[in-house]
Amino acid sequence: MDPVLRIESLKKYYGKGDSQTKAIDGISFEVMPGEFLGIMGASGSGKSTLLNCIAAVIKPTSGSIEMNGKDIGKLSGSKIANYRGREMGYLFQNFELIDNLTGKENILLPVSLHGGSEKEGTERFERLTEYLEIKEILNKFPTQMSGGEKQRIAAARALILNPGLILCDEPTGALDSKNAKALMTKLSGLNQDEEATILMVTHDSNAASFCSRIMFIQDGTLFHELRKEDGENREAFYDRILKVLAQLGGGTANVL
Amino acid sequence: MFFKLVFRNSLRSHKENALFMSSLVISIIAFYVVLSLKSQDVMRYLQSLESDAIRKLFAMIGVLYGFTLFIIFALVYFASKYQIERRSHEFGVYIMMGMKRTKLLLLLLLEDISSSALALVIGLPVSVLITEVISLVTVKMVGIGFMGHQTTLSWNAVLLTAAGFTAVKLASFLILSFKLLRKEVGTLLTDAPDNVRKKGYPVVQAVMLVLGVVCLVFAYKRGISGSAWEQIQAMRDTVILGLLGTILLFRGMRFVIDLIARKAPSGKLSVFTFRQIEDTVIFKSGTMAICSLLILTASACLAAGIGTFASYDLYDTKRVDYTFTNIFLGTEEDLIAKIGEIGLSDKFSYLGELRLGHPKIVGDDFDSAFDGKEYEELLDALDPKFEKHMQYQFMGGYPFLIRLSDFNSLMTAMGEEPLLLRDGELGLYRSSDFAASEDLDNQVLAQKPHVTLAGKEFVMTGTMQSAPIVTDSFITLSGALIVPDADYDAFTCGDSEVYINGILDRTKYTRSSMVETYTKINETLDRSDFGKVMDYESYLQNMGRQLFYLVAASYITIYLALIFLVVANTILGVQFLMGQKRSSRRYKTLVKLGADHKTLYKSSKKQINWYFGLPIAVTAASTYFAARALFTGILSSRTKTNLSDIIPIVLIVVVVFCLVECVYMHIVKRSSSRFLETLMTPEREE
Repeated sequence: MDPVLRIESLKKYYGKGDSQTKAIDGISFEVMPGEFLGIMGASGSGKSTLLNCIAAVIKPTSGSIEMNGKDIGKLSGSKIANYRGREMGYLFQNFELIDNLTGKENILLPVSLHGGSEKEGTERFERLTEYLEIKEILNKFPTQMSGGEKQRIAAARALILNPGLILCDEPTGALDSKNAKALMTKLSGLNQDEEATILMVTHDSNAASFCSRIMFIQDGTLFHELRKEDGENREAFYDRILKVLAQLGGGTANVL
Repeated sequence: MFFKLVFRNSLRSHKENALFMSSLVISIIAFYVVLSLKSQDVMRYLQSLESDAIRKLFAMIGVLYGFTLFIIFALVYFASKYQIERRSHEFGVYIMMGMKRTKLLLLLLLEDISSSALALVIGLPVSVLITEVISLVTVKMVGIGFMGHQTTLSWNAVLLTAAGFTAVKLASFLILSFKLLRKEVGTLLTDAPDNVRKKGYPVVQAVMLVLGVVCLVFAYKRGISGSAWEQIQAMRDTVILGLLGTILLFRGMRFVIDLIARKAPSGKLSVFTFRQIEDTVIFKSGTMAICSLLILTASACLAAGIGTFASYDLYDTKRVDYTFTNIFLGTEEDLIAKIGEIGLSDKFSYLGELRLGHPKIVGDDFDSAFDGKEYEELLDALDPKFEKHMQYQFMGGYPFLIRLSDFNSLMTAMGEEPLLLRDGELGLYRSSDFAASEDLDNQVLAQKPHVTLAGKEFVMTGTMQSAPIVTDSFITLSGALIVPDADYDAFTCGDSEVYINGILDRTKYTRSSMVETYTKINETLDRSDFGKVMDYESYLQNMGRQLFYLVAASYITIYLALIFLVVANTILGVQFLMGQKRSSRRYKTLVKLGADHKTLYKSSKKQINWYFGLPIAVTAASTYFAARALFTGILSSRTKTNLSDIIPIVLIVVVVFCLVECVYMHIVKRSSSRFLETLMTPEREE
């Protein structure tokens, strides 16, 4: 099976000479279809840079990013915008809903921007709104919704075009624990039932425990990788995550 | 370092904000055009003819200047407000980095001064150029090119323009910077939050919409039917109804836009586009209504100005060019001979006497020389409301009499039909200023009323005559009776006022050299011995007066129209751009979802079209009805306008409007495009 996303010795350096900062220093990994990959790391570890590179917001210094076999470094202009909109779905920490559009209008924004078959769109819209339990709030404006509702609307928007990869950027960061859990359950459900490929950046170990694999980044390099083993429950995986985080928190000098 | 920052900032802001800079330049032009009125060629010329009226007009310039100051302040204030709001984040950063607020104020002041200076450097030469062009065009249109062009550059006007502009700029600067400095740093750093969305009740909006339309329909119905024009109170109520209607209409318009947005029209981002339009309609309905009214005022002024200019025909063929009086020097033949001596006889195609007199009376009984009771009764039966004193004051008991053969020879010379009277018949003359009742008079005359003049029975007949019988103001004749020669001689006993009228040979000069011809003949007459003892009046005085009203009225109305138009458009443009900046978060989200600049720009263009289009559409509808109301109220009695006269005026107004609107929309679109470009890089916020 071909990977959805293949990243090869990705480097992103800022500045020159002595003042050079290596935000990403040679990261390689693959994301397989239907995978739920988490990326964890402290602030300044290079998570944002990695995400921005994948979203084609910044150009890497070297290395390649292939999305479904296409090198996105070679895209330009409107093709980049199209890549961002069509091939990827986004879930942001602060939801990024447009406040003067109703829930339904927000969800259908990507369809309006990037087109697609109307019939397919409507079917998908029905299925997603049903699954995410947001049918009641479709005609409300974001200011009339709770945080959880907003994020579920945002999730429906991220999924409406059936993108190859869903990028989740701290999706639970602005939610309370109850809403965070509800959202993660829905996301992992989508991952399992619909085989949606998800790449999630998070600080939240609880949210991360829903993933099937977690990569830990430190100082621009891959520091560690955890895979949920067959039959392993979420609690056990959560404990393992905490252990790695403890190592990360203590720093390399003390632990390794 | 500080000055480098000032320099760089001001350079950048000029480049970035075409709207701001053009508003400043327009302000300067507005000031200069008013102030340089005195040095316009046509004004200099009129000053020699109608110095009193011109003095009054020049006194009015002060008022106009004050008014301009006020309007331009609004313009500069709005333009600067956008400029400052756009950069609030930048100012926040300066303060965060430790710049003192006084230093920031100084920075802004220096930037302001540099932009003002640049605006003056561009604006003043442009203003001079524009006034030169206006001067030359009016000279050409009026036909006084012979007097030689004098440059309109007036240092006094330049100084006052600079002073007025600086005052306005400084005032708006002080108000805005005071507001800015009172803001918290945090408020400066974060983008102003999006307006909290109020859902509102669709029913209420629909009711407002209907009420607005009803108010407007009522207002225009009153205007067109004429009931609004009967009393000041009625007019006031109509105007209030119109204002209220316009405001309600814009308030209720959201209902329609919401329906359009919900119907989800096809096209990229169309739902978003209509939601944005809806937002502006909700939050800016007041501004839109005011701008719509301003544009309406502008179109009314422009139409009035152009209409005045077009409706005055200075080249009226039905005119007497010269009237000579006080001919104690001799008879008609003597005068003709004298005119021949100074070499002017070939200029005239007609020279002839017109005798005017009163019926001789016995004793002091001035009231019984004429009895026109039957005429009065017939007129009263036709229109009881017609103001009697206006009608009869001239007929009275002691009317002016005009000798029929003199009158007819003058009419023939002017190309008019002569009045045919038999023995025992009288004709009616009213001067054109009193000729409003022409139809009524003709109806009465058709019934051939019996009247008595100096004891003799007559029948009044023919049609009412109103062609001019002298050049200008020698006699103020509201009305007279035209009497057959034999009766005239018998009634007046040879006691007449004699006027000798001259009509110039129309084949000898053209329309454009008319003023020049008069001026040259006048010079010749004034130089001659005979001209010194002779009272004469040329049509030039009359024309001068008309020209004065024409130039003054059209100049001021067109000027006001353009100012209103510019102010309304600037306010609309600035409001739109500020609104767009406030919703920059929404655009950023769209960019994150993969919208490219082309798509966003397209949506923005559509919003601008709607944002400008809504008030303009309302104005267009209003203008149509307002023009019809004007025709009922003011113009009907004065002009017998036919459609072919109006169409070119309407076309000019429409073209001017479209041009101004296109320019503004283009500028706003460009600014918007540049603003959207700054949002195109999606940033991940930590």
